[in-house]
Amino acid sequence: MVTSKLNLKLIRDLRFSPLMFGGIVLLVAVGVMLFVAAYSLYLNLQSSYATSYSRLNLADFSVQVQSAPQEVLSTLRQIPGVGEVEGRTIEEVEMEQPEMISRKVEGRIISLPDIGEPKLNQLKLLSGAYPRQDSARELLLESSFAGYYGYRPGDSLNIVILDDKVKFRIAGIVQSPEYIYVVRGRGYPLPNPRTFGVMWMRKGMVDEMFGTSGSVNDVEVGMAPGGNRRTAMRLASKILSPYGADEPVASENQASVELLRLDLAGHRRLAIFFPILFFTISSLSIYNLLGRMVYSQRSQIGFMRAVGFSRLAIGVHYLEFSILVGVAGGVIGGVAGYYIGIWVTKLGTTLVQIPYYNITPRWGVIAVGIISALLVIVVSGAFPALSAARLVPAQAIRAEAPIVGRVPIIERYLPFLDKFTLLSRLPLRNFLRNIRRTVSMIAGVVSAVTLMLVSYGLLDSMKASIDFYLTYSIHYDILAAYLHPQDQVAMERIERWKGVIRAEPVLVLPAKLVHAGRSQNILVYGLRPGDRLMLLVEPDGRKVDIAKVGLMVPELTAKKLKLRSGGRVRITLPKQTIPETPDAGATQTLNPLLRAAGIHGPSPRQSILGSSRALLETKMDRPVQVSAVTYQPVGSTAYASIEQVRLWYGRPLDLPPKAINAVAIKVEPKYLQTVERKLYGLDGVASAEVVRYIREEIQRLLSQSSVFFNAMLAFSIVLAAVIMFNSTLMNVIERTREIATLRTMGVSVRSASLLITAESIMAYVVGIMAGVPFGSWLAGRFVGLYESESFNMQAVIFPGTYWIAILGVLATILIAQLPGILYIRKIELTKATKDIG
Amino acid sequence: MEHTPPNETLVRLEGAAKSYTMGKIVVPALKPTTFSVLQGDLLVVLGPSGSGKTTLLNLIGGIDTPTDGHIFFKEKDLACMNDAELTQYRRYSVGFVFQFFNLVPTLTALENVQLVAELVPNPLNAQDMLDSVGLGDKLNRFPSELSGGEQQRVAIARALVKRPELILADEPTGNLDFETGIRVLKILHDQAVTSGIAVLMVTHNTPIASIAHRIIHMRSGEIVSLAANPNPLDPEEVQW
Repeated sequence: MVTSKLNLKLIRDLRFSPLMFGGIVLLVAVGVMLFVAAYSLYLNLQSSYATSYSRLNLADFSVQVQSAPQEVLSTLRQIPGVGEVEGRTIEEVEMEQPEMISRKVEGRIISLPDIGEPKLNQLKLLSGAYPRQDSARELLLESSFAGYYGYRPGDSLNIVILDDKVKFRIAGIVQSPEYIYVVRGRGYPLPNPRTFGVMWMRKGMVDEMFGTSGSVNDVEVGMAPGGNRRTAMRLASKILSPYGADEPVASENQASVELLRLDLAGHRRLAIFFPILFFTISSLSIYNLLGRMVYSQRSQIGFMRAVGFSRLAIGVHYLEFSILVGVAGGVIGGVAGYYIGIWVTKLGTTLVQIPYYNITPRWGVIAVGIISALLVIVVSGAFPALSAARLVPAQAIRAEAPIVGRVPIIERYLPFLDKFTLLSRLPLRNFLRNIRRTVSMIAGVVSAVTLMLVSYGLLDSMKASIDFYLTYSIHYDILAAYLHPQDQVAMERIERWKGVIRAEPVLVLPAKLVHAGRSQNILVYGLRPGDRLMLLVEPDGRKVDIAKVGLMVPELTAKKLKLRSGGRVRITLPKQTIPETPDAGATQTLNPLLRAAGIHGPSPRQSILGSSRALLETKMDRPVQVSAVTYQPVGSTAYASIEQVRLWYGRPLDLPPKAINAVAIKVEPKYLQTVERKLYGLDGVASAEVVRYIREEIQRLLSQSSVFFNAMLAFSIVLAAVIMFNSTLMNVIERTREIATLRTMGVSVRSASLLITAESIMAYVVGIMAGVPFGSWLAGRFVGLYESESFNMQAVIFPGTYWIAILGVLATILIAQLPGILYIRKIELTKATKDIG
Repeated sequence: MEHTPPNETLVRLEGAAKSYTMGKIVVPALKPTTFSVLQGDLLVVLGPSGSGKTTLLNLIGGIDTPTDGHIFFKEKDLACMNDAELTQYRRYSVGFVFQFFNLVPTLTALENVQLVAELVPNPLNAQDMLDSVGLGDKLNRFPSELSGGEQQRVAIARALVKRPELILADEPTGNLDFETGIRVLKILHDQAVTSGIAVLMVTHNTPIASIAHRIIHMRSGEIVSLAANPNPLDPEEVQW
């Protein structure tokens, strides 16, 4: 009976302040929803990747070799613990698409067994069938490339092999566990189906085209259950060493697998960080609200204790408020998170196509979200509940304890404040009157600003890095890449074309830099000193010209190899033709937001790689001076004068004296398509990357990601609105008698409202002063987490973002004052001036 | 502030009434009432709880509006004033003294008085006012550091500092001990007698009425008697 009446009081108290309790329920719900949705997405993606790797039997490790006889595979099978070994031939080619303007793209051919399907790195056939086992010219095409160009089984595709065009029929469209994230290799952060596609052919057909019969250049190994992979990798490396083997690459370091893993780690971080902000503010709010309630109900508590309610009953009664808020917020957030989780997972899976989805309701995540919210809220509510239980009846039953006034320190040390009227100084006194509430208001502003700056900071940093790359660093409109080195005369011919403003020669070759016991594979760009279509800056932003002597090393490489300007580094030819780092520990990260948005690779420079492949057959090893350290947001490339590069590589690679393998071209806008078309008509041109198309693609994909950032903006506003609404209303309700007295003495409603608003503005100012640097710092930390060998994003927050955060929170706070101002208007002076509690 | 000649009518009630509607029931808090408050008047309103005396005070003070009749302050009808005009009226013409003092807890005694002084163009000196109520040595004390009597004296100083023409005191001694209560009464009495300020004091403490020039008895929301006190006592002579 006693309990039922207390429950009745509980319900009526809740109904008395529905908006304030409702606001906290909303905060809790958003926190739980964000956690459930984001963590479910993380788990669903993780599980989908794992399922795909498992069902398609992703190899446990792979070794790339120059060329090894197929017989060596039998030796590899003898390694203890090895289950399956398959040899493949992988070749880089050029593809032509007659119907399209950019009709040449780079392709990678991977061989399939002549009979049946591979046992390792199996393919999921989405449509069509496997190529026939005879010598039919058929292939399987990777689905994202096929999707981008609209290829279907039965369509044709031209492959350029040794200057001959060979027409192939697309037998089927497939997905591969090696190319869920379709990148060329570990040196490439961004997929680009527009310029790169993967296809599979029968081994016999590959051998017929490339003369590779009886040999392989890629070995895939699957371990038997319980096998020691590390030992197997060591032994495999030893066995394959005579055939020009590179370091074995474990499955988790495979390019696609690693990028997806890093992407997942980013999802996980966001899934935890943002809910923490909401839970923190929710806990502060419930602590304040219940604290106020206990304070205002002191006499009721005293009465209840006097008539026989136990401490426990009182404590539990006030704790029930937190429990109700936690349960309501948790359940609403859990249900919303469940549905939003499904939605964002679907959105995510349209951007990264996974062979096998494993999207299930994550009941565990929902339970953890609800329980976490409940725990945080109940613990926060326990303090006021405990103070209610501890009230001494005789003291509690009396009138409220007087509020102790004191002159704030700030007034003592800022004597000029005396010049202001007391009415204008009153907000300062009140601001420091209830530290708990003030801290809560400031924390609300800090959290809202931080949330905006971190989420928008990531977007700004992405935009700034890409913009720097495409606007400052690159000044050409088209980069034409040749399949084989050409004489510079080829560039001079292009320069004379109508519409071409300027053409500059480029010689791009892969290198391995070695210093301090560390090494990194990298591309070396040979440019003419004084040329203007590719500009470089140092990490501090100073412009730097191509030096006639020495090598200009990117900042991240300099860090990794402990290099500095003026130092020396060894430059050698890498074993691999495709520049993949042999350092298994090296990170290769990519902003998950960027990829969640489906942003595909903007690096036109990467297309050149295919052309260098055939060249690397001899050795080169020489020390060179580091002439400068450069900043590059995208990609990781070293620069030197083209004469130097010709000097270094000329003899080992037997290059022509004035060798180039790419041309950077500046074109009059109206001639862009004409020049592009003419380039594709030239023999030996492998690709022509048009910067404008890349920019358009990036813009399109960035706009897709606006859903995420707008959602974060909305959540920030909710956060600021709820905390300010609650704080202001609590402030006004607590001081009803004081405000009524002021009004009775002749202070207008407007002045009284301004007093209250001024207090919120003070919290806002302090919150902005703390929140802007904190949010900027945290945004920098978040951006820094995505630094990798090929993505050196600098933390940038645009002035517009600061203004959005500063003005957005201010507008929210001003709107949140309205209920408090309405309350001031409605105060019954006759009643409020006599009210003592 | 406009000067009021001696014994001129300051406030005039003409059938002023106040009733509250609670659902379908209309509860009369103050039945139609007619009387006047003169300049320099010390008027004490007596009556039991619920007799309508505080309602009467609130209506005259402009913090409540009559549902019927008129209340004229210097011939201006309060019933016709909007919220802003009523605020001006309270700011320039009326000083309130509450039973529970209602001081701003974050301001010192002096600052509480100054706060109100800032509202008007020609206030008295706040420190002098506190000196006059015997608190010259406690100017910088916060309300929590003052006794109830001291707080009430600060409240009176606060009411007086803006040179009001009318002081409305609602149970000003209700929360004070005898000696402190007498001291407060003396201050209010002196304002009426020496400064010519009209003082309307509501109390249920009958002996206090002996200091008044006129005494109103109320019961059940109406005035049952309004009589002059031919021999008002000095506050120090009052006993209860």
